[in-house]
Amino acid sequence: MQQTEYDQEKRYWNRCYLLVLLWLIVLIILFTWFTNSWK
Amino acid sequence: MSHIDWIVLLLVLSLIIIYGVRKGRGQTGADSYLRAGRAMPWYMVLLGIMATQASAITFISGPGQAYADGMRFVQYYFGLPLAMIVISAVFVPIFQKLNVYTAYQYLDKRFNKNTRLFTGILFLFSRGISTGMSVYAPAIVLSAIFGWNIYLSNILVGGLLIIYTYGGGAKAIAHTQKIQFSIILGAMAVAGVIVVLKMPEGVSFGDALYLAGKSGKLNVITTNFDWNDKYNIWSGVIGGFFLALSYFGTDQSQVGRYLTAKNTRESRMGLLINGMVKIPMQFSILLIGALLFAFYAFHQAPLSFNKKAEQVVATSMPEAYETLNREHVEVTKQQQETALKLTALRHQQMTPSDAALEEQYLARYHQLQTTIDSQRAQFGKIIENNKLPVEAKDTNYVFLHFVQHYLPVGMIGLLFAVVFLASWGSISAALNSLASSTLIDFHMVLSRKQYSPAEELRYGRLYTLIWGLFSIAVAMFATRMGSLIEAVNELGSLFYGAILGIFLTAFFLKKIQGTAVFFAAICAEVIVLIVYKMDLTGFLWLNVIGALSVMLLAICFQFFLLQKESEKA
Repeated sequence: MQQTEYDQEKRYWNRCYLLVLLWLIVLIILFTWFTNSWK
Repeated sequence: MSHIDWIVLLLVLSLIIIYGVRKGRGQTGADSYLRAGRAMPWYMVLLGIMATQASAITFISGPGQAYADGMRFVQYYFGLPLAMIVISAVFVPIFQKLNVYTAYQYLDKRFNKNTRLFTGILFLFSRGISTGMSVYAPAIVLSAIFGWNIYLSNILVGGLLIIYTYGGGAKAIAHTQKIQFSIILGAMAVAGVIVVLKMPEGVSFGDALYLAGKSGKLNVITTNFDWNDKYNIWSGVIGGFFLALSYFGTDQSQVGRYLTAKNTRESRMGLLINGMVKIPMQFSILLIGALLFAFYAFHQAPLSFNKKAEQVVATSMPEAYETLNREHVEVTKQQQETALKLTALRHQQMTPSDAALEEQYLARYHQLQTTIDSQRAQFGKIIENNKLPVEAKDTNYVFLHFVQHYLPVGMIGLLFAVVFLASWGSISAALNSLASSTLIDFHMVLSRKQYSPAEELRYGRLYTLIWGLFSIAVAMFATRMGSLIEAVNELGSLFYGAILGIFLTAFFLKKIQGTAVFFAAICAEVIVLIVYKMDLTGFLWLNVIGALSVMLLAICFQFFLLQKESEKA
């Protein structure tokens, strides 16, 4: 039971880390578009 | 500033102090004074982290930086979300599990006392000096704008916050930071909207972006690689990652904020959300600067945004000033006309001849901008060549010049209150962290006595007061320098690399022991200082060099030198 909870918690945080990483990629893409469209 | 503005300013500042004093009541010992009893939810941690990082310099210099150099400074924060992930995954669980007061306490458990003390000294030195800079930076700007005595300004910026920080410690800091940061964000958002609303009739937000973009101010992403270029995507992601990792992971002023959290979950949540909102926030602040650039394409911009500098030059070199100013007014008028023609052209259906006309106007606009830039540079040179007692650079005055001349009554007072609140938010956290490290890492280790909670509290308060006075003293001695935002960041980068290297070795190189890492850190610090002195690379890379040097040297010392010694023994 404890192992399952630990795994669930680990999966939850891994998803959070992935979300932050994706958000950074989205921001860089948006900023690249912004820079190019107002050049 | 009108009476209403002064009332707003005084009211906001007084209420914050009273609120801080009230919220900070009920201190019992080191746990409540230094870690707020470890009871904070994630949103308090988030606001604390953000308010600690964003000093007055961020809000004063940020728009000015974009005005002068464009928005590429935002790339400096690209490594931050990555650092938040590593800190949440590796640093936070260890700090929380060991129930430490300071990050350096962990080094004692992992390595030895010497490493802990060495890292603590690096921290106290760099943070102590940079806190003095955080007092001095807004103080010099306020003294130039209001004509206040610089010593009085230093005391107002660095002294008043001691009232609540001394009494209430981490709890008072967390609660005041929550209010301070909310006011700051609200006021900055309103100021940004007013920049757009104050554009001439017929000039839209899109027109302002068009002008700023054509002038190279919307250069958010720059992909060219150059070791000496301070801000590009490579130095931002890699150098920014190492800087953010060392700042948030090993600088007690930040570690102390997420150690106030209830548990690991709340700390992680605060850090990760910081990783998501920090870049958009910085982008917005810099966008205000880019919009201000467009704003001053339609309004008369002064030769220098530092009014005091203009007064000093006008008095000391009247002829040179009058000629330069006359020419400047003439050129800016021509530029305003060209800017209006350009925006008018954008609003009509473009024919091929209009496109050619647009090119023509743009070429004219750029030519005039080059002339304006050289006039402003010439003004700076007059100050430097004649050694006049004012700042030659005016980056820190651009935003506040707009605030003073174009914001409605009431808002001016609020924006100047923002300068104080932003300073107080970061300085109070820094004082708390300096006091924590002095008490926990030095006093209690070196005296080897057991203290009662009341004694811990008394010493905690005493060190807060001492560091507060020290910061004001540093501010008093601070000399003139360029854009202050860079000066503070550069100072941090001299020491952060080595500190981070020690922690990374502790976390990831399990076989390395105390003696190896201790000497590796000393050698790495010398390497960083040499690289900095010889100006071999941009300052963001110093963190990378420092951290990697510690790790590599520690491996060498451990496996080649110390191993042989232990074998001999």
